[in-house]
Amino acid sequence: MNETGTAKQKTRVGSLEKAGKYLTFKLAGEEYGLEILKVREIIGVMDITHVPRTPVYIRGVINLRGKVIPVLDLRAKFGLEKAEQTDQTCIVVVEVRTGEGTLQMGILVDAVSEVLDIKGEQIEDAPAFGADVNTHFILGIGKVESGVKILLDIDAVLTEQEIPMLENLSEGK
Amino acid sequence: MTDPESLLDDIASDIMVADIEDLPGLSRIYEKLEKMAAQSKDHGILPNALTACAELIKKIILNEVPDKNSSWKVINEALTVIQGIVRDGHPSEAAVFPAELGLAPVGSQSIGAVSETMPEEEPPENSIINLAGADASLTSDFINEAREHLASAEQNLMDLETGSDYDGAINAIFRSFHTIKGAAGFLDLKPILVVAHESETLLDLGRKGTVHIEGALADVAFDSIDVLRRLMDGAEEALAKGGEFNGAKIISSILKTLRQIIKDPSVIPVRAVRERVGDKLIDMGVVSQDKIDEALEKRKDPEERIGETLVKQGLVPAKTVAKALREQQQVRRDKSTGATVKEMVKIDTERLDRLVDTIGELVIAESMVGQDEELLGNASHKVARNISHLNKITRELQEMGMAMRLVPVRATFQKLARAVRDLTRKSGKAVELKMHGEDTEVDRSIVELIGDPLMHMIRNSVDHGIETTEERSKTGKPAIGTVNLRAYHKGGNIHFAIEDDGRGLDKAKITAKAVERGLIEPGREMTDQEIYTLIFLPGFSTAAKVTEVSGRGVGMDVVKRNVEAMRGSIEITSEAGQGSNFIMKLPLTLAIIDGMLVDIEDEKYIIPTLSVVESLSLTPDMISTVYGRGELINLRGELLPLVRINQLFGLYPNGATDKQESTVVVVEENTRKIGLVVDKLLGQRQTVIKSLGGTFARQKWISGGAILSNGNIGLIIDIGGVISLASEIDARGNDGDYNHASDPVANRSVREFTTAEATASEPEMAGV
Repeated sequence: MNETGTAKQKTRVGSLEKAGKYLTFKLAGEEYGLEILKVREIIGVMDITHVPRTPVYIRGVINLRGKVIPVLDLRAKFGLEKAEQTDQTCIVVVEVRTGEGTLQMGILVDAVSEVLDIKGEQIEDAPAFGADVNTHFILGIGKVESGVKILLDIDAVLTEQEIPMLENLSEGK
Repeated sequence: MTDPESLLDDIASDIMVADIEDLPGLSRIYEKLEKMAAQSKDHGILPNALTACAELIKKIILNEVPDKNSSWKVINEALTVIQGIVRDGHPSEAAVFPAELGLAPVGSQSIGAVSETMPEEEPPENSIINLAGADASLTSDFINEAREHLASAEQNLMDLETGSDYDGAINAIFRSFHTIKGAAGFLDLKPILVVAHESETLLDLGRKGTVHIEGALADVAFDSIDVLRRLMDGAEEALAKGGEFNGAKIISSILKTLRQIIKDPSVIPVRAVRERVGDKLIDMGVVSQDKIDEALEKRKDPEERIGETLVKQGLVPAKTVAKALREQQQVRRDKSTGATVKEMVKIDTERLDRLVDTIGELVIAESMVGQDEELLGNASHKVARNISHLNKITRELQEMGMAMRLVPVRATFQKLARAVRDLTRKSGKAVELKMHGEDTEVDRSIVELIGDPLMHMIRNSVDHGIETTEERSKTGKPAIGTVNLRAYHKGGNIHFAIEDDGRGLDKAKITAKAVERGLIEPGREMTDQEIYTLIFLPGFSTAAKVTEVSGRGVGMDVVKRNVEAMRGSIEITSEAGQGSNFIMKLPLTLAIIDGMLVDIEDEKYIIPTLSVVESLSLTPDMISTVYGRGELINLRGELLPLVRINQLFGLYPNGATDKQESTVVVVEENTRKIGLVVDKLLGQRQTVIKSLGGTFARQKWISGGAILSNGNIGLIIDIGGVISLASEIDARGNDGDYNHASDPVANRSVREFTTAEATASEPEMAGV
């Protein structure tokens, strides 16, 4: 597997080395992975204040020790069916990079599993599924003993819709 | 040839062992001092000091001093200072020599002798701030501190002029300069040191009564403050780059002025200074400004009080002057009471923010414990008491925390007062700035940003708004123009109003100018507001002549941009001949707001209390409908549109949209009143607005979030946003019979295409 080649194909990722530690979590029976360096903390689910007239995947806002951060419902974002909250449900607070700096955001997941060290040769490019599946958010597919992990490009997940809003703000609107 | 240091050590040890009566020993010391003075010619004050010591020794030898022992002590002290300079590299300018030495006592408390020894021409090294290798934290601390001293000196200087406590004020200014000078000397920031020193000397003359610091002299002092400020900026820059800053250009003129005045205080150009008693007399209507100016021109002794002058020249009876003076004293007494100096501590803003956030969390954690049913159910009396004690303390902490981010606008206003003072002196207009609401608290971040726009607007008012004294007297206005500067909270915003009683905006002139500049097409009909907003266009200025302060056509457009960048707006009202009122409305990004906590479909929202007019419970018979859709309520004859927040926000968790019990909160925004339908009022809360971040920038109907007592977030409803959202939806809901008049965009295009047909009956382009 030629790694530099894949990196070149996926310019969004640049030459970023994909091998490394990933936080894996469950979402509708599928296993996903997040680069551990993007993860700030994992908190149990708390009351989320709904913000009216926002896209469905924006669950609302939470109070993270005095800081108000938005929470994204990853199930809704990926078009998966809604699930009841369990005691396993949690919010992964991630830090995404934007043009202006970094932005903290919570993402609602069904359950976090473990931190996995995934080697470069275990990672494959996302296969093309055709028009039905948007692979924009996928950094790659990790093949480990416990199964297949979908490695998310969290910056892309969170920025696709949200960042333009942010930029509007910085223009003073 | 011996190097100065070892020679100095030699002298020092000689002095140590010498005895006053040991004449040969003394003469040896004398010779060595002379030698060293010759060697250290280009060492600033050093040769002078050495020579002075030598002279003093000579006098001891010749028995010419009254008290040999005390003179001997003086020499000892002086030698220590010289050692400090030579060996430890202390800057010679800051050296404090014993006064008895008869030197220019740079930096000493006894500013007896005026600095004849200061060279007329500034040695080049005195104008350079070299901060390569300087202690960065020490220097930046100094810069910050010095800026504070300058601000306080400026304030005191203004107090000095308004004349409350002359001695107290002048001493305070003197101390400020003195402190700056001392620290600058220690850090070897020569230009700062020199300017501070000369300013200090000037103030000392004022302290001793040689000169009276007012009018032109106060100008000089103000200038010194400005120069020092610029030097601080320069030093800061140099510090950042680790390089040099050449202040030669900045300091040369002020130094020249200062030195001239210090040398001969009578050289101050006697300008037509309006003095306070004079004002009083003008107010009393016994004498005109022109008469006073004339009298001032004629008076021989510049030290003479205006009252005396007027009496001497037979313009005003002595009794009247006495009365004015009495009244003036009264004012002074009133002024001097009440102002207490608060002690301040500087804190890193980041730490402050963290503290405030943490306090917020503490409050929540506390209330969770305090309201825990399990705990309270089994609580003994003691536990309950402790919990309530804890609660009290946390409340107090919370209040402090909330107040900490806020600062009063006072400091900003004071800067404006200074600006107005300078402006009136330059423009020759008589303007009084009246400030109201200096204690209005604004978030720190806003305070930093409002200074410039306010300054521009004040300048605009003084320069364009207020007429000259002659013009004013012709129209029968009081000779002194008034500019009212107000700060107040309104509708969840902070308003700054600048109101002048000048000539008002000339609509015809503005329109003509705009046409001339090609900013608008001729013959276009506009509302008053539209005409007024023309002055915010780039390249617009109606001032007939370009003055130093304004009229260059930059300014108002910048003001507008700055204010808009803060998501604020400017509103103008004006009446020709009566004055104008500029209102700058700014949001309180982080300021505390008083909010009404309401329940809407089990979600908590906060309505800013300042927008709330009243609230009443809603009964079905109050509602009338239009087209079966639009709901109105009749509130004592006033018809208000009703907005159901739950529908507007799409909240139907309980299914029931038609509630039996609900409450209408009547809110007002920009003179528009609407009724918001909510489920329940939960009470008043004081909360800190937290930004929801860029993600929700488009959600204009929400202005922020507030952390509620249970740790959850309550969203703060933006009334203006809700109103526009409601009307937007209304317009969209009317898709079937699309109504052009109700849609501002469509309305605009109609208007643009049919300018010729535009009639008065056409709806105004509100909000466009």
